[in-house]
Amino acid sequence: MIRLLLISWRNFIRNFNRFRMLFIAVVSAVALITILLAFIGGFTQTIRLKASRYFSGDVGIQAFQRTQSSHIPDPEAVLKIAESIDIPVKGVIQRSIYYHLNGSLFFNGNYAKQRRLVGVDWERERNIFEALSLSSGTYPEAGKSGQILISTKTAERLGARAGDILTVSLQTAGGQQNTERLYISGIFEENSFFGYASYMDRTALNRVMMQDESFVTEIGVYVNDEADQQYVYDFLYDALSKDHAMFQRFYSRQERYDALRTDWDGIRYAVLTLDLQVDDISALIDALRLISYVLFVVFMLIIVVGVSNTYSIIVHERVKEIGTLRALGMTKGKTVFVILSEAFFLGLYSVTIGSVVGIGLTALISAVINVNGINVMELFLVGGKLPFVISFGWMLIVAFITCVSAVIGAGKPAIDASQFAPADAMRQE
Amino acid sequence: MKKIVLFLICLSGFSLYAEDALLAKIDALLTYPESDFSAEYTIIEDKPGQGQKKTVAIIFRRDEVENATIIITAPDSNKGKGYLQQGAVLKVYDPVSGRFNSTSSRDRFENSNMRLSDFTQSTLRLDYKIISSEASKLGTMDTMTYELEAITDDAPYAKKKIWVGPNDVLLQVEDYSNSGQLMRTMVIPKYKKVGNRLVPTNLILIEALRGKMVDGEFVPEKTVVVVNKPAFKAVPDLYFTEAFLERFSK
Repeated sequence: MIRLLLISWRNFIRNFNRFRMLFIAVVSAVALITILLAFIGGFTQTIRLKASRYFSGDVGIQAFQRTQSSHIPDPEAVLKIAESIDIPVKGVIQRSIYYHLNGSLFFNGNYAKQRRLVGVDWERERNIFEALSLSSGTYPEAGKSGQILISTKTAERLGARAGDILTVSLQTAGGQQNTERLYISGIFEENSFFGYASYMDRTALNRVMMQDESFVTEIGVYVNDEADQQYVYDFLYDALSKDHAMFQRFYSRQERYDALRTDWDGIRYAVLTLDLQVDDISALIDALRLISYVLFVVFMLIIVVGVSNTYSIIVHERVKEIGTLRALGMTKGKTVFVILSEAFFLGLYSVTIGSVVGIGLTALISAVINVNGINVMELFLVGGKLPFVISFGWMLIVAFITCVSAVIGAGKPAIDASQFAPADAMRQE
Repeated sequence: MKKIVLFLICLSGFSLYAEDALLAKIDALLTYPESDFSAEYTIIEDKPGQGQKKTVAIIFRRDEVENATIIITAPDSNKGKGYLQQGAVLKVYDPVSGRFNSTSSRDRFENSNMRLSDFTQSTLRLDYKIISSEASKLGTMDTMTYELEAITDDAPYAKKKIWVGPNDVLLQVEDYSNSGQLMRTMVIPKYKKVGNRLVPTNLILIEALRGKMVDGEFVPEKTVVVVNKPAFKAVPDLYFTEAFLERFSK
């Protein structure tokens, strides 16, 4: 077996010139797929990261009274439930959020409306926010209440810099305007709609909203792995159901919206996954993934057809060599094995080089190409750059499928070659 | 001792009554329950760096039943848009979609510095109480300044400071947030006698937070309102209906 593999490897090296064009084609295809998968992976991860920060984690708990925004009346008890999750999680957080569109920031006469003013416990969310790419300033110090993090989009609109003092203004539950002056601790890189959120200390936001210091609108859980999201959701839903009135399980944003418009008494709790919160964006990501899968299939077909055609020619050109090997005692099966192994080596070699080229080009594209200012891309960017993720798992799948495709493509020519009668083959010129 | 306490109680009671009466008097100056009211408002917004924007609106008020209709007649892009107040309900009419949507008296009028509540009757007495007063000057005019604090959630601002001139005429109002941040100043430099009533015919609204830094100095956004053709004549009931706004826009 090893001997046959060595023969195959020697044949592959010696006949490499015959494979050159096919090799270049497969390397290009692998590199292209690597680039696509790396960026789609990067986009997906970035969106999830931004969205989880915006929507209070990967799984969130809200509590509603009829016609009112979320307010969790017993945050300590709910927090205890969230902290009792029996798998490791990245963090359990509590926030107060001002959801209404009239929350605004003012600086030197400029103003920027915010989609959300988010009150966070800096210490609890430190590991989440420290992953933020800050264009200037620093992460707020825990215990200092009057600090705010704003996005580059907001900072640009306000003409404000880190260290400036802005005024946050909103309408209290009573309907009156209230304001607070806050120190801009840092400015995070964000120009998409996620940039219409500003983050401040929860007690400071509660003060502006004229709420108790302990006021909480959402409790959330950041999971370690996307795959844990459903488990955490089920855990929280079941645990909360024991002592709290619950909405039904929601499978879309529309269901949640419809449920909130129904009549009910008292307080009802809702558990929401990030997938549900970002179902529009998820659809976009799924579409991108689908496109890459289709491209992947097309590329595999090209490999199969390319390898098949190339090997038909190669086998024809090497008929005398194959005849000699057969005359020296190589069986039909071994002949097939040697040719298939050559194809496998071609696939493996192409994948190795293609992956290296793909990763290099991905890093180069990410570093060089600046897509800042292209609206549709802002959502996916990190610090103005295209983010990418090199997934070892995906690369193994690509390698496996490429090698298998090459072997499949070489299948028929290999069988044809094994059918040569040694004497006839050796007679051919 | 008892007499002194009794005197102080009487004094504070009288003072409360006097303050209440003052706010009622100011409300009466800006509220017209005895007759319908109509006027044409020319609203000129001056946003530093963005130039001026002029909006003309006709307003009909029936304060007796808290009804009001505002119809925009200029610029052309907003012509036919209207607002309808029927008691506590306030709606905005969009002539393009032909739909009415709920709005609030606290909302800005056409994104200007005017609130919708600025068009309708004054409710200072119901919404505020006086917490302090002092003699002051506004320009060269002797005035009294009163600090007001909201007593209901209906009040659009938590605190106000008002300048009251001779004959208890309201000359200036400063609106403050709960935390004491000045939000807006409204100056009423001109009143006109219409029949036996005084009608404010010129208002200047100055934003405290919105504006632009020009040569290192803050230049606020400003709105000047000129009230033309004020009249206390009966207005047809139809004018306070959705049908009127729909018909007018066509």
